[in-house]
Amino acid sequence: MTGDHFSPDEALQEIGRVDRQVRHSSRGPGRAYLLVGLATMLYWPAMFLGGRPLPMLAGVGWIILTVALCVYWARLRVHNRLLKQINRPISAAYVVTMMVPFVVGMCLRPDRPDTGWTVVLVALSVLAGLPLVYGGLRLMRS
Amino acid sequence: MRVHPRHELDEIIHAPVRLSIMAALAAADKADFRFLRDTIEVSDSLLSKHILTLEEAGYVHVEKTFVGKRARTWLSLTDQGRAAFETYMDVLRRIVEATPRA
Repeated sequence: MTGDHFSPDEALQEIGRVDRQVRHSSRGPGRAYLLVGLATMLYWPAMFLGGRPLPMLAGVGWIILTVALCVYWARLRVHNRLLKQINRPISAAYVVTMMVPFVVGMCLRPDRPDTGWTVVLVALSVLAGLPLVYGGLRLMRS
Repeated sequence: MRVHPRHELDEIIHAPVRLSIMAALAAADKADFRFLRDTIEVSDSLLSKHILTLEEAGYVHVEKTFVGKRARTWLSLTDQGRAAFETYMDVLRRIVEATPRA
């Protein structure tokens, strides 16, 4: 540094350092997306296929996860540009894909679920979590 | 005639603390005051002073919000600030590329 100014090389190094630090801090939301996406893939099978007390535990776990995420979001100190870009489309896709296993599970669940129905529900549950897994991976790679 | 690219460096951005603020905000959509303070490793008062300079230049937007009774200050680059930082980066790269290596 010369006097109170950076040399051009030092300026580029400082920009790189700060940029890496901001990007590193932005990976937290990526991990959160990934966690909820994977939890979604387990949630619907637990709700519709699990015997007691699994559905109740899944429900309580979901409430705890939601509260924890709200607290985490409120405490977030930096918002990534990519997060702003993808948040809306990912959230919209997630709402839609979440509705599918819910509707199928609530309206079409047979009294005795067979293998075919189980496979369909698991596949729809995986599909439901995919938007968040995709968003999480993109954020973590940014 | 001043032809060296260093004359094109934006003096508002080129001061060390302000450069770090601009670099952090260029990488983020918005950042909280405390995050910037910890990342840049400066005191609250020094950070406030430089943010004021950037705000007066139209480069930074300051937004105060409340979570319960706690105030939070969010900072982001304005379009003008983002354009100025991109221009600054271009000039820096031109200077570095033009400098002969030892």
